[in-house]
Amino acid sequence: MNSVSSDTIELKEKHLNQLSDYTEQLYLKPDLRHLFLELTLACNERCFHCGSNCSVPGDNELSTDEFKAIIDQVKEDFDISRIQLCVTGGEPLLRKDFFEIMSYANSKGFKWGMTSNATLITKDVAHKLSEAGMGTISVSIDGLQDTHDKLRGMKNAYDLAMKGVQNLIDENAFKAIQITTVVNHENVRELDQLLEIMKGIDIDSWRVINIEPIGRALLRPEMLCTKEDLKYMFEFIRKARKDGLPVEYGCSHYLGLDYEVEVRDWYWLCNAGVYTASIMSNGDIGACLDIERSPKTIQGNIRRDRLKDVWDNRFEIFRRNWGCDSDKCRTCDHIKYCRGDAAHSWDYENDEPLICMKGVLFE
Amino acid sequence: MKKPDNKTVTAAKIVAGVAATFIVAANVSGCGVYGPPKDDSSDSSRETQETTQVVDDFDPDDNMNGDVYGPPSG
Repeated sequence: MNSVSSDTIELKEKHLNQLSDYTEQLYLKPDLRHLFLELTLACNERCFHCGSNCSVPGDNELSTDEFKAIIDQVKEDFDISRIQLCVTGGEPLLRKDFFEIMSYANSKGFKWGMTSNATLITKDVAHKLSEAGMGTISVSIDGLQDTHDKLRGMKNAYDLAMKGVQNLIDENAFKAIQITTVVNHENVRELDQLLEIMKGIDIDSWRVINIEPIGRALLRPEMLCTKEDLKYMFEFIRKARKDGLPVEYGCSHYLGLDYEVEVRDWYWLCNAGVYTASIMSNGDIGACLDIERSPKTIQGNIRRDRLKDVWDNRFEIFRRNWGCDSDKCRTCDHIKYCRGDAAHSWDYENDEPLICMKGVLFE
Repeated sequence: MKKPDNKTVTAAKIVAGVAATFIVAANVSGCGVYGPPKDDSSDSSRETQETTQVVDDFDPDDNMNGDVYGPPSG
């Protein structure tokens, strides 16, 4: 494992201290920048690691008019020039009213992007996405062809997804097209081959992230990354970036002083409840959609609460250093930087992190 | 994959340890995550260099990360 110079470590500590002070202020004055809209829990794939356990539409999903009302409400109450709508699911394109909703958002001046498995993105759909004002998209590719199809539970998923990506590229209308790969114990050794594939596609970036112990992934503990898998992945990303390639880790975890700003362009900060809010398909209001859904973590429901009221007056569970709740975290030298790590991998019953890179990337 | 565009990298702008990554980034200004990539990078911009540069102009308010599984910021 490469290590960085002591000067650089010192500078990173300085920056992380600055960020820590800034975060304390952010807890008091949060700044909504990402609003996730979970259009549906329906999905045409059955990814083994799905954090939201998607398959069929959820109970009592928001209607077309309800989504439009949300768009109107957010425009009324927030400065939407500072907000990106992040459309997700399930597979959002399964909603028959997808383009009606998102064209409406576009007409109201919203920036928006989406996540998709791209299996439904024909040339016609790519064109419609452009007309509806989509700015960015992240498409999931979780391995080489056979691995991808197996992990995502759909025959020909890989071919369809890659065709979908190419249709998006050919439309030549989007600010950023990204592929996201969720690394697990089975596909981690395919990263080098995947890199060669990614080099041949005209995407803007490749996001490589580790599987999280949430949702359906908990049913397959053997697929979770070992320490060796994680080290391999992080070194892979670091080397690719050293070679000038737009490969990046996501925002998922605090990585310690050796790896912070080495595998991504920013320092660790959990967005949940400070930059990010989510409206789930049943109207529940939460922070990040990958956080377990419980009375503790759900902050309201859009059918009875105004988002601005909830944003201004709730989310207290996320606007704090929850690491202080954990015996393990409280005594750690990095607690000021890590703050209990990610909200989506926090064990809310036992008050401890489900994933911690201490012992993997730093001591 | 597209070459990183000329848009400035993040507020961190720190060349840490692996010098080449950020020297390249400084030349080609980071990846396209935060905006449309420009098509004016040259091969010379991809050369790696040995010298470590440390830049101290970090702005915590500009430490904008793309969200966990969401689309890239646009």
